[in-house]
Amino acid sequence: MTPEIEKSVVVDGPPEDDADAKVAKAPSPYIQAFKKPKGIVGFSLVGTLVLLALLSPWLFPGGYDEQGRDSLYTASLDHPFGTDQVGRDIFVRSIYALRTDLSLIFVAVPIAAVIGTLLGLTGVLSRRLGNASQRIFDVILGFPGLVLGITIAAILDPGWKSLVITITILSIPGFGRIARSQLLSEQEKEYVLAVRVLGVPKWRVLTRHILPNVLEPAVVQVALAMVLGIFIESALSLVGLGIQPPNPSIGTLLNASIRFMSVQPYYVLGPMVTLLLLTLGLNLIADSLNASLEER
Amino acid sequence: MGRYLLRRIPSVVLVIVVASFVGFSLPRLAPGDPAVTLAGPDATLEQIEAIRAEEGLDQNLITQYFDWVKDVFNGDLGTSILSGRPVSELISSRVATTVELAVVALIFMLIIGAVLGVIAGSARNRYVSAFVDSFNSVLLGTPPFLVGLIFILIIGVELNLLPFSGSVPITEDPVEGFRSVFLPALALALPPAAAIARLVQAQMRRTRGEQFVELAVAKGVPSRRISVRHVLRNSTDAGIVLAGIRAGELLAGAVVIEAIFARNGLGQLAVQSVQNRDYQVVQVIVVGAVAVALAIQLLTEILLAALDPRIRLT
Amino acid sequence: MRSTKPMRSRRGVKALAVMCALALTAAACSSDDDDSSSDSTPAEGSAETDAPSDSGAPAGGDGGTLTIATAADAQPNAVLATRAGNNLWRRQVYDTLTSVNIDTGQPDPLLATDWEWVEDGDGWKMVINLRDDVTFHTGRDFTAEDVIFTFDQQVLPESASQTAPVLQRANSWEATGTHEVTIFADDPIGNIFDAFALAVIIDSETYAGVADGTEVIGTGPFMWDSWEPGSSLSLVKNPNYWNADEPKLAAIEYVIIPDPTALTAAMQSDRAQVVFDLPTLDAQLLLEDDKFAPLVVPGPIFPLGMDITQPPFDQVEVRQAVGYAIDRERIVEQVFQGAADPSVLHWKTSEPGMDDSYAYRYEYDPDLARQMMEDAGAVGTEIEFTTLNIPNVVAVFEIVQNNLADAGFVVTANVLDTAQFDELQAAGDLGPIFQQIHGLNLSAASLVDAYPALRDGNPSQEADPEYRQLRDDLQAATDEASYATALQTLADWMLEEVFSLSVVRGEAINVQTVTVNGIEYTAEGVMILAGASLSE
Repeated sequence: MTPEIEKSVVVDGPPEDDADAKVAKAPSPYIQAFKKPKGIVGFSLVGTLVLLALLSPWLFPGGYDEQGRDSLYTASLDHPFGTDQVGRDIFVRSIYALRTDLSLIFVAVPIAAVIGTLLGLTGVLSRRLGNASQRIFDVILGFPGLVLGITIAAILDPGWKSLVITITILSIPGFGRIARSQLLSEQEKEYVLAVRVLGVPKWRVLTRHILPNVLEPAVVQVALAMVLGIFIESALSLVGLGIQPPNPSIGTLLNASIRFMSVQPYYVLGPMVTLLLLTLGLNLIADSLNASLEER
Repeated sequence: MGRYLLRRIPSVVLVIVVASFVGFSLPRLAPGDPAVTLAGPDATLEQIEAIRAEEGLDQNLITQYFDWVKDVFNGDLGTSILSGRPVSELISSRVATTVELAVVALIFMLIIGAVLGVIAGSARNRYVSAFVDSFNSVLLGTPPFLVGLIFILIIGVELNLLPFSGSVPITEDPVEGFRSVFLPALALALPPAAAIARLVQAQMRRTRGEQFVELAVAKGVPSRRISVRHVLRNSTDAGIVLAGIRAGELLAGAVVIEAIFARNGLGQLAVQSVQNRDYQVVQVIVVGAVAVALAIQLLTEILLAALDPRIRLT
Repeated sequence: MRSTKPMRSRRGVKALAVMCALALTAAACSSDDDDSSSDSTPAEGSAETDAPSDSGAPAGGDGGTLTIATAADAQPNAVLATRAGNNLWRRQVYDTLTSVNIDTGQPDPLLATDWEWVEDGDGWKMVINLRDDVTFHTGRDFTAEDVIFTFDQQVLPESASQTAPVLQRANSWEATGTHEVTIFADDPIGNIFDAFALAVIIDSETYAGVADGTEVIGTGPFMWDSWEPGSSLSLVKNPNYWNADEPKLAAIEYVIIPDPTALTAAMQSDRAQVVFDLPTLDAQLLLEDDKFAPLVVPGPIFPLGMDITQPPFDQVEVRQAVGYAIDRERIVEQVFQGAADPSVLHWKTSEPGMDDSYAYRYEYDPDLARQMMEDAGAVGTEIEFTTLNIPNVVAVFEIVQNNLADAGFVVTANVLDTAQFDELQAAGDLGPIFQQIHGLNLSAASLVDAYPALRDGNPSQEADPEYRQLRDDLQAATDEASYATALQTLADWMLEEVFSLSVVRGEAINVQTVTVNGIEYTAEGVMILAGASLSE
């Protein structure tokens, strides 16, 4: 085998569909996603919300627990979303709730992504390991999520910590399956078999060929898993075992707004708008990423 | 297919064993035990201890685990420590409600998803397409329980059109039963329906561009008919997989929906049992849920293979 | 090459698959219903003709069926204790010796006809005469032996009865006649009627079948028919009840509905005619309709306790500062929509000797609180504030922690899962400051040894011998005047030491349709339906 052939087969890998590196370097799909209309809206939405959440202690130095006698007031200039059942400003609470939820998903989902992907890729080491991790995913997927959340809350005391762990565990299979399915499909491809015959070490195959293919759907999955994470937080807060008062979270605000629906129907606007904007933004990002990845 | 099932058995068994282990040990890691709940909130330590001894809760955990496994193989699912009733009785009285909800929701999800997707995909008007698209996005971004709560408010309370509390089994009273499961099933079905709609819409767009469509158009077949027929066929694969995944999520979402619509189903039983540390009930529910999820998975794969000759059961 | 299947049969396969799935699930559903599930959730029931299908109760006409909706399930394993889920049916299936009247506060005779404390050598004895015309639902005659059996069971720790300590102050009890019971004690036990209230007379022959609800036999106006845990409970009329005028109803059906919106809906759709313990907001909404009327009974107290051995709460001034720091009015308004009493007492203000000067001794004064905190040098102290995960308690907790922060504490909220909290409470170990909920509504003399917040081994670590002495004095008082004095002395001491104070006393709001008549309550808030009836 001449060094040239070896280089073109092993180092450069098989020609991709769009002839990378050869003619015009195709722009990274991530940048592409930014430019699409969906991407623009999505990224700006999420970006604004993240910024608001980060700056909240300076924007609203009073904190999220300024109670008072003026409870369940409708929207006014002082209180754009009204006040809650103990007189706190709902707008301020919503921003701080955003902060809580963002902190949850920005910790839990990346960790889940790493663990899930690693687990999913164990198949590269041995077939058995790969099967074993698939079984782990099956158990987690079949396990009733709410039961898991409540049990962990009982073990660790309800709150931020137990929620992070619950969300992480429940998000792992999503990433694991993606990694594993990419691994399986790539492993079957002829060029990989050829390259392995040539004696290229497994890890090189992994990093050079498989990982890039895993990364793309995984990034999309990050956005989707974040949305799911918020749902999990909301569901657990519905049974009172999510974020504990007086800390606000989207779930606890929703819960309270529903309880007082008959007295102040507009209470629900604050948390609902926040929730919708955030999930919409994340979904749009996922969509535009998906679209630009497909186009490639 | 028989060989396929046979080959799957070891992994199925493994998953169930792991699930049983987790379902057994995880709840016991939490502080408190059923004796605390049985003794009541005003109990003294002495009273709790007495009940603990009476119920035999101070035995070796490993023995308890194997005793339980042995019992299950003999058909005895255990006894709820809290109510003294057999776990099988508690579950069977509620499983119908949950299954009913899940099945109706599944049907809604498929129908609504397909219809929405076809509308979105075949719409020529960009605005209609964009509108349905955004509608989908909003639906996807809303947790089912929120959709459910909004339904209760508007359709249940304000308009008083449909009942939103309690459950009547369909087999007992079909009309009333269907009415009472309508709102909860719809709430449960809408967000995943949006996901399916997306899929169908994307498939329709893709199909339009394919060669055999152009050929059919050249032959004179109306393009709408082509799209729908061919798309529905070609998206069956991904659709089934998606439906399979979503079906699993349906069961999970059913728990919360049951709470909101006050349906006496498995979800409520599960939540109460965990909070009351009714270990026997929790164990069985966990293993049952995992088993059902596995069954759905297998079914999906079999269905896929049956419908698409390109896919082989490996 | 693989041959592609013709289009038609593929679609056919799909359709077939879907139909098979549906058929399977339909079959599964119907086979499940063959068991007992169809009984559990009746369709929209109405007052007249809904007799339970599996009993011999007369359908229609005769008295009718009353349906009660509640969130709390029956707990037959604890019939000798107070449980929310038992307060609804206990006095329907069982009788007690006496029943404390909610209006007079005095015991009315029930299975006991009369009683008297007489001196007996160095000590005292209470001679109780019983009715001789009472039978259990199995037909067996009720005798004094059954009372002895009941007392014996009540003091067992397994029964977890909150009034066991009251009965345990007696030395012994005997059946001194077929229908006469004598209790021997060193001193008369003034609050023994609280013990009687929980000592529902049980049947020794069938007691083993009570815990799982398979056989629940009493002497009461209704008989236990069937129980679906977490779902429903059915009672039917006892045709051989010793009171010929009672019961008027033919049957009672309890439906368990945990969700407040669903409870409201059950009332509005006439599925139930009485709803028990509805949250205030929902109750107020329901009561806007004329066809509903309220039944208000005493509800739970929300004791705030502090560990007097842990700084800064080892200083009494700091504890008193906490008393002034709490905005009770705001709690009454924002958590209970006005349906609560901002009393600091752990017992009812109607207790002998009590009045507003005791109940409202700590008025909201945030400036005073702050001042006292500064004087004590406690401003800025970090404290962990613990409570349990029950919605109403958490709502109270949310305001209290805000008040504490205003007073100068740095508060870390610690909401625990209920089972964990209860276990810690039983062990007397809840941290420096904690928010509890208690709901026994017995007399003060019983509460001071029954309430976890107040009894020996309480989480406030209050073990001052004087406290024990004051409680003993209270329990030794036999007439109203000495009781009042003893209670005042105790209350003064407790309000000064303030190791635990109630934040508010809630009200339990039950709602009934106006067609229901004759629902009564005992002083503890237990529902009595013997005289209840439905008008058309």
